Amino acid sequence: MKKYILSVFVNNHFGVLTRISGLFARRGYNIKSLTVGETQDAEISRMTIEFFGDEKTLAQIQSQLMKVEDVKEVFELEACRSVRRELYLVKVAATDESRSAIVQLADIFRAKAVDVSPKSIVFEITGDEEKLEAFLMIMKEYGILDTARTGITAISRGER
Amino acid sequence: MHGADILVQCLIDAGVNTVFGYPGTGVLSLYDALRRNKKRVKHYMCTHEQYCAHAADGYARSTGKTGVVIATSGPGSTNLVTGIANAYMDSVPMVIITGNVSLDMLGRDSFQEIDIAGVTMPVTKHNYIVKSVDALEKTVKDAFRIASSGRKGPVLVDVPRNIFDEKCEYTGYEAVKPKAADFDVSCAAEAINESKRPFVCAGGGVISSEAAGELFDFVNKISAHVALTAMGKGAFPSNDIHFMGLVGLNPNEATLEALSSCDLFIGIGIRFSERLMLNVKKYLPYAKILHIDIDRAEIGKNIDACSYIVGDAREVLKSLIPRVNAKTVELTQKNNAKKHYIFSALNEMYGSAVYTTEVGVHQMEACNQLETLKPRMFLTSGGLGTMGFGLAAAIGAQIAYPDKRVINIAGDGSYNMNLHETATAVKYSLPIIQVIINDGKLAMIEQMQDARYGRRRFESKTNVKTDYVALAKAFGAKGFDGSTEKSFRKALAYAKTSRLPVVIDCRVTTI
Repeated sequence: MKKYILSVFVNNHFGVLTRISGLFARRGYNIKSLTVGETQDAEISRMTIEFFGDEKTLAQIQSQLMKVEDVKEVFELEACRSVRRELYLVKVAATDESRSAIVQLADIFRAKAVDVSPKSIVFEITGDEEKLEAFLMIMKEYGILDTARTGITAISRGER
Repeated sequence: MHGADILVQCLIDAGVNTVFGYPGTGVLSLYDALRRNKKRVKHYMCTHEQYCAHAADGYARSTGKTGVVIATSGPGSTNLVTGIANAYMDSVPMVIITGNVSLDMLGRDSFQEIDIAGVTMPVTKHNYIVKSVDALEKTVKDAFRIASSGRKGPVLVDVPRNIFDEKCEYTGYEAVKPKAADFDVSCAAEAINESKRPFVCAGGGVISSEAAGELFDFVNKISAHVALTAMGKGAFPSNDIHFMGLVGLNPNEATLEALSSCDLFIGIGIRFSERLMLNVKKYLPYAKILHIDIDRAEIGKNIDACSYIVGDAREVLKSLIPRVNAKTVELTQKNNAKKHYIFSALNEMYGSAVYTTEVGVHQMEACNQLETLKPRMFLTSGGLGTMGFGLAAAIGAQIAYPDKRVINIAGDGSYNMNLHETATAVKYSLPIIQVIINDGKLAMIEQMQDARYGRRRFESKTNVKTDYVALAKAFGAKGFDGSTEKSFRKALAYAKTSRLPVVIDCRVTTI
């Protein structure tokens, strides 16, 4: 099983998200994350779908997606030819004693503190999966109270 | 124009002169427009929405045109679901129009409100909710385009009822069918030319693309054995020397022998369903597979083909025929299996009839024992296996072809599901012959319980005491007993001149 990322361009209509997620559910494909947002053309949305499977599943998913009337284009974003990013919001337990150490560590990851309370700090951090996992590992020491993740969004690299 | 008139005009522009449906509050404005246009679009009403859908499906299968069915919101639309799924599984072009509560009431759990677009998403090729009258014309025309292009299928258009009463211009928009992608036949031609004993298996895709003529020429040129799937029955004449039988459930000996000796299995317009795969795995361990289908997603879904072509069967065969070398292969002889009196009489007396079937053992036997020489003459629920499909499909086919004979082969179990449609056949004076192979049981259930559950039979008997001959009379049809060969043939002879439906109850112990 390998992780794949697909970019899917779809009509920006109501119900399209249900069509795509329904197709994955019906055919038993495992979605790890799905993000969606408008493109520069307000009529078209871009979905970034992260899933686990093999080459055969990848080909099957691509053909099944192309059959959906609202789907305009589907392509795979290979790791070496794309930039992948995800945004996490992480609420870390912080006391007067631990706060400065936590902020210092967060700095190394270029995580931004976006909320502070007497008992916690909320960090905003973007990056690829490895960086975000590493950040979570470090913050576990202090106690993670809550996390919210956007799921991966990705774009192909420019022509070299 | 009012939305309702726009919709009817779209039907007329799409060449539709026959629709099936059932009125209800959500579509009354549309029915008013249909009344105004009844000379141009004829509306047929069954006794239940499911059978309206099956009738539209039978109409589509027998003609190749897009079937149209109309139902109201809520239960009217949910009753369609089996009919839609049935068409979806067998790739039948169909446009479904449902009314819904008015736009301002949507999403409020109003009376007879159902999110039918949500419900039917997995069983339609595409569906729409029309949110403004300005979008109606384009939506309906696009629905026809989608239903009838590529791999065909049902498309649902849900119309909130206020849209029917609102006004806008009719633009005369034309939905343009996408141009099919190019394909390359050279690999396939090479594989065929290298093969010593090719075996062709043709399915519904051949019928759907009107490729039976090309298939015949292709098979004769390469001298291949031919088998058909149930959906492909009629794609190749069953009396031809190249024809072996049906694959799928219980293929005959000759088919299996031809299968196991082939070195190239050419699947045309088939989807390698699990019923076919059982035999493919068992009998084709070494043969190469060439897969031709219009749907890219079918390639590699159930089987890895060594070569494939994605394209319309007719176009593909047209380019393949001049590229393949003529062969002479010694063909496997098949023994003519003894036929049940019901099927031998039907073959003799009604050889050119359109046959429909229900689902069960009678369906398997009809597949194997009825001679079918041309496409669109044998209509059966292949993918979904819908008991209750046959009689309504027969109604659709008989409406499409008033001068042809249409015969539905049913088991008693299936007839119990749709016998009220006899009333519809009587209402429209459709001289359908309804053959009930009445063994008092769900024979296929019994077979499975015997085979897989140690003969522990449960609920496999139908146990109804219905007198089908008297019932036929009660519906206004003609009823006959056909429990012996003699009485069956006599009933069939009577049916030749009948202008009313004829129901023949054949009480048999086995088929």
